[in-house]
Amino acid sequence: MASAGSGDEKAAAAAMITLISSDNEKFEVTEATATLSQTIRHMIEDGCTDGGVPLPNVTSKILARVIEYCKKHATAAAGEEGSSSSFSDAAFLEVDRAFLEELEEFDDAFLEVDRATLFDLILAANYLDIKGLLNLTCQKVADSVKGKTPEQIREMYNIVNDLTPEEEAEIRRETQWAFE
Amino acid sequence: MPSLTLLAAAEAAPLRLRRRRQPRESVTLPLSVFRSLALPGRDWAGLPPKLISCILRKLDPVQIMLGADKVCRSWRRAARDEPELWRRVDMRGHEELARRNMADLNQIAADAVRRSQGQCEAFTAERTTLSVTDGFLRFLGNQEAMAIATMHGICSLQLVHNNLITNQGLVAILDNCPRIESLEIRKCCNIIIDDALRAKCAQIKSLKLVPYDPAREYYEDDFEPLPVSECSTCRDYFKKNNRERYQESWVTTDINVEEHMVTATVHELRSLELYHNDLTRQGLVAILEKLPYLEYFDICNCRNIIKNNIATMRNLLGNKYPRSWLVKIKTKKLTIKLLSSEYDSRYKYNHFIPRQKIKKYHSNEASKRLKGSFSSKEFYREELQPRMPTLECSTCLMIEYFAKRYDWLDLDDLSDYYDPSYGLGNHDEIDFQVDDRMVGKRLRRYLKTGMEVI
Repeated sequence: MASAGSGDEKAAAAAMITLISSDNEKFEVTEATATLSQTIRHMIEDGCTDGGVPLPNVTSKILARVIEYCKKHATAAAGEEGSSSSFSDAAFLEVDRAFLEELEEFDDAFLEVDRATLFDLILAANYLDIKGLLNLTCQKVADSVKGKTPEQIREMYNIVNDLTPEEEAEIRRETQWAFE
Repeated sequence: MPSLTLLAAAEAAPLRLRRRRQPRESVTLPLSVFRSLALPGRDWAGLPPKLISCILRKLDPVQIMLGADKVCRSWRRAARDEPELWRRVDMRGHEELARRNMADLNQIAADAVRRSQGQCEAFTAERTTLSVTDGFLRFLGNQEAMAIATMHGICSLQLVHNNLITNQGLVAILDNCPRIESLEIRKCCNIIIDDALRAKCAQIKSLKLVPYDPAREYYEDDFEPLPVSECSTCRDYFKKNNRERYQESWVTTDINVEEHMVTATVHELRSLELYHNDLTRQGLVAILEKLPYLEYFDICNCRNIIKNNIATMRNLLGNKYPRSWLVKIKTKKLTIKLLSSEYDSRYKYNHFIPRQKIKKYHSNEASKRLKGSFSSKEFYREELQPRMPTLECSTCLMIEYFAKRYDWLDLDDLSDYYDPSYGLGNHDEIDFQVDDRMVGKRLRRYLKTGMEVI
């Protein structure tokens, strides 16, 4: 399933990929886990994963978390494929639902991180091109921003207000109703 | 020796540093300080634009406009210069904000559409549609770029209670939105259906026309009646300074044009609703005849039809047309809804629409009820309407009403003041400008309370 284009299909299932974080820590993951990242998938397809994949933009702390996410979701993906190929009787659906719930719980727990980590996760997800993780983390940020005033958002995310006076004036014009 | 002194200095330096550092280490600080030190601040403003818009895409227009949009430059840029973000504008779920006057949803909607730079495909708003759509198009009325006109993909358009959108605006919209299939024009008193518009409406499959009627407005909602200056009718009235012309223009607007429009061009029309207009029997028959695809036909409060009773109607349909014609109607599942009185509570509260050719005609009780009681609405209906059933503008009604009452109406003076309360009291012209609004308001309140009592 995952190794559609790779050369050594026989070893694909068991193949391990070594990921190297920016601080030179090495992580061994299965190919199925690693290919959740489009970036790594392309590397694998190009056959340039021998001797490990260096990821200079990701620290070991973040990479560990990303791998945690990938492992969970890789098994989820595998499970889904397995169930869809077999007959989808009630028992299977039940299992699926339970699994999805578990996955959701995992995601919720996974996102219980501080803002700095969240930031790094977003960047890592972007760099590694992991759609699900990017969605998840962006959603988290969006949820935290919802219903907040610009000031609150700035405070929350340590953003400096760098709007030019012209832009400020523009905003004031836009929100004129508030001052009427 | 200089070198020796240098060496000595070099040796001494770290010592001095160490000595200097020591007292600092003994300082106690709250834990939070270290926590913030341990986590170097992340630059959220410096996120790649792609990621910022990825976050923004999870928010809806109102949330973006009120928050993220105004945080900093990069976020603002991401929110403003990315038309794709505004492809779907969903204004639902924020009535509370509007109700508490914390946000101007109309403005937000208008901005959102403007930002979509023509890529907006879906615009959603709910019952506060009234407010949203209203102001949304107020913006349009201001003719700032004709926001809707740029939404090429829009399929359905609802114009509610908008007095600034004019024919030009609507034509521009129709020109630019080839995919419009459903158009609803409700209470837009500056839209006068004329030849140009008629031609444009040809492609529309579902059309709903509800002329502006202030009496209804009083009845349904606590709406402030519209300022007079915004009423095209009055403007025409004063401009032309000619009663006949005025009447004529209304007649063409209401009676002929609508009928004519639908009958002449919109052959494929499937659903037609006419409210408060002076459709005649002939017109009705013409419509039915010319619109073979019509499936749903709602005639609500059309005075001239109501005057004829249902039996005549049936006769008319039965006699004038061969049996096959009637059969055809049946097979097409044509629904004609005839409702008589606008004060009929059944219309307001019961939305059941009889699925029959012609089903209900319940004017009698309602109108009796009305006649028995003296309502504020009745008095202007009674006094003004026998001859001019098409008047739809409160202001005009009021002016005429007072003119009749005081037997005096000077149009030249009125052209400056356009106010219904003009002529109400013996005001000097000087304090009139201050007073007229108040008097008008009081009058309206009086009318309203009068209604409620009854």
